[in-house]
Amino acid sequence: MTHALADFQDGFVRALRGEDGPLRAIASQPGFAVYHNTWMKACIDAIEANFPAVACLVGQEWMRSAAAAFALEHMPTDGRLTNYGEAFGDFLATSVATTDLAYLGEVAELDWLFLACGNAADACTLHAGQLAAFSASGLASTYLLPHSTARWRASPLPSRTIWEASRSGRAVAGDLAWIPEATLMLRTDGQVRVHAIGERSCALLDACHTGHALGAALDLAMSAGDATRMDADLLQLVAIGAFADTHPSSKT
Amino acid sequence: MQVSMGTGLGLKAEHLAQAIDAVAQGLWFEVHPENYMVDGGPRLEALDRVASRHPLSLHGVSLSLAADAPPDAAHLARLRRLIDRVRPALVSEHLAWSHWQGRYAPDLLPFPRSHAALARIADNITRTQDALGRTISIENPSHYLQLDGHDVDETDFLAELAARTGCGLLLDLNNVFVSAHNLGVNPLAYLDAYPMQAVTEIHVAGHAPDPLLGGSLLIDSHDAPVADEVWHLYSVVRPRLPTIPVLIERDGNVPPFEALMAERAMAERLRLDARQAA
Repeated sequence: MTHALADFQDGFVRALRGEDGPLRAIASQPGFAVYHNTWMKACIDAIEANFPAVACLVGQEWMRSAAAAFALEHMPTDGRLTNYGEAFGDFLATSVATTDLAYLGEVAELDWLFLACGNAADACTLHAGQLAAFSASGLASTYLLPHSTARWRASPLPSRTIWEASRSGRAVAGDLAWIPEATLMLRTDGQVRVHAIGERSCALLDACHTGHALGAALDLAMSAGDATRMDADLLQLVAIGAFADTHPSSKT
Repeated sequence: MQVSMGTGLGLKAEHLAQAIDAVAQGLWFEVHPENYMVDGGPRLEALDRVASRHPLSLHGVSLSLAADAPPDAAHLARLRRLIDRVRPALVSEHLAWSHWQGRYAPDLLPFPRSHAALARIADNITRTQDALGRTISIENPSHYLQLDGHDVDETDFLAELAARTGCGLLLDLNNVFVSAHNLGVNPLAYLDAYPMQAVTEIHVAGHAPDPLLGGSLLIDSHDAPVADEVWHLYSVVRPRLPTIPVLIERDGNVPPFEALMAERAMAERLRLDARQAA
């Protein structure tokens, strides 16, 4: 029996996923398990490597089982397995198996942000002195772009506290306060730095990221909380390097 | 730039810092480009430093050249950017497929070597070489299945790909041994028929028996030192390929860098002995 190449590949992928099809005779050979095991192991290894805080929290057996289930539902789309698992946080958040571990999805999102921050493009950082050159009206109409390595997330849970404890192999304190936490990650000197920020700061970064001028972005961010501290939030973000210097050649 | 490439090592991320500082005649390193297709960051910067000190080879695992579809343009663009950045001495891929209908199975999957497949893969290699602006080399696969539908022997298939596209060949001796064992053929007969004139690189590695089936099925596991049988095949081909660089692959149970360098030193002595005898 011969197969057109495309038909063969259709059948082979179905067989890899455990579905019945025209290649059942091939799939019944002992060697077929090598292919099935190899692609599954590669996916599972990648998820385990890309989500170390989740793995630490749930243990290896649970993690690899969850990763296998995820891989069947979400096969990779290209060969960059260091970039595989963007949907893993959502998968955990909606998985029946994690109803008692509601924070796992949020922790996975922080693992993902850490990965993305570490592999993001380099860029120059905007410094506070550069903002001082603007008039008030000029500042309101300027556009600040979040730094290319900046990744941020507002969580309804204390996910950063749990995530940081897990990443460093510590147990989460028993008196953990179950309050929302917002997190900003930035890569500085080749290392990902994790910053606690407020929900308003997240809203400001969101607004700047979506192309609002600073004045409008501040207005949007104020709706996320106490408006009286907005200036301080902006200064904090600038101080930690959250914005890109989009005209680095103009620096003195 | 003319570079001297003797015996190289597959480079793991945990050894990047040691690789930068390593000094040995003919030393070079090989990485999977997929692991460095990122926009920036410390890993990419470390690869820059390795490339500034040593010859580098990019050995792809996901171009899926044996798929019945053209190579992914976005992937080719990413690979081209990395090539332009690190200027590798060698670029290679596998005679296999892994990407199909928008899904990627991270493995090197087999196919029937039909005449139609030969035409498709030759076209895919040509497209790839055009996009990358350079030739690539194609590695012979490991086999675990008896497939129907082969029109062409693998050695003739590889020779024809090289003739039609100008590509080089990466002769993986561990794959030769594993495949010959699993399919019940003679590895020396395979090497006799292999188009040695097109070889640009040699791979050697370790393998393992299947955990369930034992020694009746060998796995191309790269998780052990190079097997004695593979060293034997190397001694057979070495006189015919005295100037071709050889690479020790290791992807599992990765030992300390020093242990890999010691294994490499032994291989380099074999290479130099054969070169002097040639």
